[in-house]
Amino acid sequence: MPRFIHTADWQIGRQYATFPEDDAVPLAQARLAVVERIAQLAQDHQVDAVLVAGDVFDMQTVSERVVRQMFNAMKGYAGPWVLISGNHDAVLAESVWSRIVRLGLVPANVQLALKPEPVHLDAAKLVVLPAPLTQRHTFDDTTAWFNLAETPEGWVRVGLAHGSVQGLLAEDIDSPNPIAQDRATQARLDYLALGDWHGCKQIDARTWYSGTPEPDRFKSNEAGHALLVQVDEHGALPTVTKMLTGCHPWQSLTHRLDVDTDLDELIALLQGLPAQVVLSLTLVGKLDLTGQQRLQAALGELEARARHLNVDGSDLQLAPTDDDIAGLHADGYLAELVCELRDAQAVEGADDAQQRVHREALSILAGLLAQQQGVAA
Amino acid sequence: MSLRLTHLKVEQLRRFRQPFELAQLQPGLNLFTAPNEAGKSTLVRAIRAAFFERYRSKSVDDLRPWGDSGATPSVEIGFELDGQAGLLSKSFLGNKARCDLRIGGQTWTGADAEEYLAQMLGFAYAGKGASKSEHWGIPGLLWVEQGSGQELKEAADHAYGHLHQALESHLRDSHASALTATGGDAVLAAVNEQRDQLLTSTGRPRGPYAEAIARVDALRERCQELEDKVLTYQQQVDDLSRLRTEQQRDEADRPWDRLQAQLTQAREALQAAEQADQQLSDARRLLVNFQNQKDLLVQQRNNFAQLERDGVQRQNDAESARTRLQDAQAQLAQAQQQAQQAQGALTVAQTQLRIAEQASQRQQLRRQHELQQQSLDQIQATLLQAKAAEGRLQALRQQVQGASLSAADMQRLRQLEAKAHQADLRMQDLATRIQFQLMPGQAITVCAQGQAQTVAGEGELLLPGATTLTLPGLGELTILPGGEDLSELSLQLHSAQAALRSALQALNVPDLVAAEQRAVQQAQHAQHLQLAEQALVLIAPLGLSALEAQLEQMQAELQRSAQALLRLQGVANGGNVSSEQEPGASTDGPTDEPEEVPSLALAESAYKSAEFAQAQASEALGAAQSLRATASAQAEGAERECSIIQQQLGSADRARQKEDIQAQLESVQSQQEAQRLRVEQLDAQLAQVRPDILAQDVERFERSLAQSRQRQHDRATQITVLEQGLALQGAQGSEEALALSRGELVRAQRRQAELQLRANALELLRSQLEAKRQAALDRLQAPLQQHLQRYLSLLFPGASVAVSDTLVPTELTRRNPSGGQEVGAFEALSFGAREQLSLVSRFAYADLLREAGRPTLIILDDALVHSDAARLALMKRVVFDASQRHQILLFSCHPESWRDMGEAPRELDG
Repeated sequence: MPRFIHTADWQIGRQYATFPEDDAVPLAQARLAVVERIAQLAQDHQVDAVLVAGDVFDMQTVSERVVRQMFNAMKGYAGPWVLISGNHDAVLAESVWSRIVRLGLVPANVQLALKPEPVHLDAAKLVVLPAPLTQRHTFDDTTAWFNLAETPEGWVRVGLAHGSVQGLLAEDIDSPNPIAQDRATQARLDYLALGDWHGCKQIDARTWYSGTPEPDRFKSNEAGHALLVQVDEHGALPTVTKMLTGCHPWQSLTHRLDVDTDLDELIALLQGLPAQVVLSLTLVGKLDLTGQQRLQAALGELEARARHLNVDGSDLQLAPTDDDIAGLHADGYLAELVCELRDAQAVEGADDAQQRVHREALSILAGLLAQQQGVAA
Repeated sequence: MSLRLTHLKVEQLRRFRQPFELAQLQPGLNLFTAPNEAGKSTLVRAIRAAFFERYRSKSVDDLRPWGDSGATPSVEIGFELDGQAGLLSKSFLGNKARCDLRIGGQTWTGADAEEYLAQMLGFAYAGKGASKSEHWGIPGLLWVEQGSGQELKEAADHAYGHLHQALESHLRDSHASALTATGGDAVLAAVNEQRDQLLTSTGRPRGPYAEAIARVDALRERCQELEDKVLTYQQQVDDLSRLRTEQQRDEADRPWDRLQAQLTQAREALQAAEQADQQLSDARRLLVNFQNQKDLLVQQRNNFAQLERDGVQRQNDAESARTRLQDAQAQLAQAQQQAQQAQGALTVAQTQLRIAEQASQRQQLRRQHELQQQSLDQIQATLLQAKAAEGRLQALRQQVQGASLSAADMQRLRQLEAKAHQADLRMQDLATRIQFQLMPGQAITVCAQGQAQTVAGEGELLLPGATTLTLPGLGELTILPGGEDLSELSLQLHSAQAALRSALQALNVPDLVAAEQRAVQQAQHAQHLQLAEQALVLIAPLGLSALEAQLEQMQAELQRSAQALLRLQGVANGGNVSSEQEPGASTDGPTDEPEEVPSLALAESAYKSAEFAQAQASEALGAAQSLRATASAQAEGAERECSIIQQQLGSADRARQKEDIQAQLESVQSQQEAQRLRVEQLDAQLAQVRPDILAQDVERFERSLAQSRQRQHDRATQITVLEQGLALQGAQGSEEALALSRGELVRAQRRQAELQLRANALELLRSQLEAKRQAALDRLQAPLQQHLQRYLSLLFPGASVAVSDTLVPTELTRRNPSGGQEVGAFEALSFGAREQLSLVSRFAYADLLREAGRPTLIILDDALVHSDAARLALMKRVVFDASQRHQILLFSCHPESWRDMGEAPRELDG
């Protein structure tokens, strides 16, 4: 009754350099932390093995320190770990794998399945058929050999591969690396553990993508899980349980602000977001000065809770109302300029870049006026 | 709000130790005149102190009368504010210092009163110490201190707030909406400050913006570097992979073993081929030997045949030489004959030519002879003429001889005659004269000096001396003339006559007349002689003897030609000329011409032809002789050679040798054929084997083997190097660095874009704000301009003035005398003009303030002292006009200047 954890796409060494360092470093650390959680889960569930379906590392030249940290994070589970290479960490003539072997970093319980040879886990009578990638881009189905692989009678046959199932995942794939849709059936596999797709996704009764255990992009759905798989015996259908592992949900939102209630909704939505969220928020529509202040307040509140917050308001028009302008105590030509800028940024079909300049100018002017107001008051 | 002062009272203030009051101040213009030191300035100071100085101020000591330190200077000012009576009483210094203000029913005291006043009039107090110009506000602008009329900017700056407010209120009043902006300048300043942090004055990025751009560039470069590095790394990984695969394949395949086998095989084949090649060379050498032998034999055989051919040839040659000799002999005979004929023809032609030449000569001689005869005849005739002329000449010469009278002789004769004649005349003058008249038939004898003469009739006698007159019939009369000179004279006369006679005798002439005649005759002869001489010269220029010689010569020539002619005649007649035959007579010309004499030209031509023919024949003869000689020699040579060869051919060994050679030749030929077959065989063998290609094979395999081993070795090295390099690079974490740099680049680009947007926005704001501010300013200043224009038109008709942001005149534009526009900066104007323009501006401000409801009292202390009469007259109109709207207190020490203001100046006599 073998039981194992299926995980993939750890992408250790990934940088979030487009984020400010304050956000980037914890996000990189989170990828190690999630390995710790997986080890913990493995320990908790007393699994027979942990199978990692490729892209363990985000790049070939990941630093030694990070590799050591990763192996440290795996210490929580002393049972066998079976790792294969993916497209990010393909087994090339020189690769991250050859380095870590050369450096002698690999613990005894970690098995690097870098050749298409069966891995026998005797205790559980579980045989793993690995399909490590040995090139950055493969155009052959590396799992083809599974069909003819001989395995001991009665042992559970599990395939471990990295690539995209043909005909299903047309987009959002890292590389061609094709895998036949019915490989599990063809090769009489009890379970086919796949990596490459960062969201958690079931292909058929015996075939799953576990997805990355810690989300790393806005586009993946259902990312942040590991799968607990149990196969009662060779030929039986596997029982697959999704286990939440991710710490930072990544969300990408586009919100339209036209009327006051739109802003209310947005604020409510922002307040409802979980802590540690990584949010990319795009705002369109228009906003008056009061609304802008409310929005700023809400975003400030969220920023304190969230891991990272990126707001794109470049297409959000600033539309001060007459009351706003009166509130700024702008009179004479200042008031005139405020109105002109407000109108200029909202002209339909005008040059986008120019409109942004007008919007920015309006924002600066409003800020200065508000500041003056503050000084005056 | 309108304010006007009604009275002013001072006490214990400077020179006014006793109370002094200016009462009944008028709403418009109030003129106060006083000499210097009369207290004019003290009053102005009192007004200023009453308003500007705090009553508690300790800094107003100057208000006290000189030397009175206990005095309490006090000022009381009565006024009317919007129709309500008011009174300000202020005392300074000491215990009695106080301030009281009453307006209508309301009163203020102390600081309250002062604050109320300051707000009402628009000024401020000094925080500490004496009040200074920066506190004075509106009054500072409208109350002009002595000597500061031309200074405007500072006062206007201090009143700017009030003026600006007044202008704004004006705008509000005139429904022009709020065109100006509260804090507009502050916003603009803030925008400018923020903009200047990002952009230079010319709009180029600076500060953080420039840094952001530089950072983007640097990061882009860094990314590129890292990308290259990563790419190189990946490339090397791929290389390593390929090399390892190749290495493994080669280790398994061992291609060098295969190459070694191929090399061995090729070497063996090459060796075999080289042996075959050696054999071929030997065979070829033998073949060449046979060929040489054969060639030698054939040569010998040919030599024999050649000798035979030569024998025949020599015989033929000898035969033909003989034939040629015979031909040459025949030709020679012919040529000899032709030469003889030509010689004969030449002789004939020679004879003919000589005859023709003689005939021609004779003809010529005869013509010459004739000519000579003619010449002789002519000379003879000439000679006759010449002789005749000679005869005449001789005759003439004879005539001329003997009658020779030279010109000198004639001259002497004439002188002698004249001398005798003179002596005679003198004698007659001096001599005694006897005039007689005798009876007819009567004569007397006169005897004087031994000579007697008879006279008759009537006449006169001269008596040179003692003369005796014999009077027939009567006797003798002797008369003795008187005078002593007479005898002397008589002697002279005789002497002269004697000389004349002697000369005449010498010349053989009876008298002078004859002499004269002879002289003429003589001249005529000479002339004739000359003519005759000339005639002779004409006939015989060289003289008669020359002519005669010529004649002789001509005769001789004639004779010679006649002789020659005769000689020729003989030749012509006799053919063989005999020298004995002489002509009979010299005068006989040659006669009979021989018949049929050919013309000389023809004879010459014929001779030349004959000569040419003879030369040719002679030449032909020479040629024929030479030909014959050659042919003869050749014939001899040919005969000799022929006989030698015939001797050789007749030799006995000859036949045997010939057979020998033939036999040898046949043997060699068969051997050669055999050898040739062998060579061909070997050649064919080698052509199949191709030793050159075999050598190439060996080289190729050797090289391939070396390369194969080298490749294996190199690859092993390369693999090691790559492995080490990659291990090193892997540890450097280029991809990580690249990911980081890319992220940084994205962030930097974002920042750059933000700053760019901000810079653009700030730039936009700045330009918009400045434009709007300027527009607002223009509109704001319009009312001020209007007021300015009102006064300016009085002072400088047609002029206009530009005003700065701070409302101070900057430029005056006016018409110059020539009708053009003239622009002058305010500061550049003359002192007087600046004062006038400043005053005009102050009045305009006052109008503006009045319209805004601000009190506008104007105080002018000794204003316009620098204006000339004309300008002052204009300014008086300006002042008067202003006084229609404002109360003006004008203090002056020139009462005469202000008598025409419609207001009696008040004299101060404090």
